[in-house]
Amino acid sequence: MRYYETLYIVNPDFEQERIDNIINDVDEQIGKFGQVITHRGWGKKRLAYPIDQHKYGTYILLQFETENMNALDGFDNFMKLNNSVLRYQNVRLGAKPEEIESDLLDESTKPLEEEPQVKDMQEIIKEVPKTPVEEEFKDTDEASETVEEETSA
Amino acid sequence: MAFVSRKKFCYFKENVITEIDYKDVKLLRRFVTEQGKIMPRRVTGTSAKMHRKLIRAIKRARNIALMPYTNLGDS
Repeated sequence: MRYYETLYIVNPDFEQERIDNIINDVDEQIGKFGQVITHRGWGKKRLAYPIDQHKYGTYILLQFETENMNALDGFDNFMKLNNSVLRYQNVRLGAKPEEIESDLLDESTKPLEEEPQVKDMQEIIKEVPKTPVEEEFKDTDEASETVEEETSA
Repeated sequence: MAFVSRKKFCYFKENVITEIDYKDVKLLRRFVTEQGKIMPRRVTGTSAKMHRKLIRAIKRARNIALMPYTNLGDS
């Protein structure tokens, strides 16, 4: 028995319903020659570089086991011809996959939700303008006066 | 005085990591320059065995757009 892992990217504009359909299609395809272990979404993420002019992509992670190595070519073909899959990668695993650590998933989904920092910045800006501006002017006036005194003397 | 030697160590051996997952981008980022290039072993101090695995993981991550091939300018 060999274990494989496929990570594929789906068009980010698809609704959940359509993604579920794709997942079902892939499930069906795997069912012909192997068994699905895990198959779930990995969230919408920013791509490191644009693929087909998409800046974001919905990642889906699939892990399966099979004994039929020849059938993998067919699966490759299916993924290649599947228009809703932007990119896929099939990797052989050395051992039976354990439950995916939820940490990995959490960290990767966090960057999209980073917004509350802006509020803190606005508070800081409000506090800043308390610095005495008038005093500085006084200083300069005095300085100019002393200069005049010196020149007159 | 300008040259300060510091002992290099293999990150993976120190932390007892034997397999590198290409999905763990946070880890892989440490071994890549700002431009996205894989850092040489002489800089990172990674053991030869783990460096080979590291390279494979980084290249896989690049292929599936988790990491950039290049990172020039603001892209």
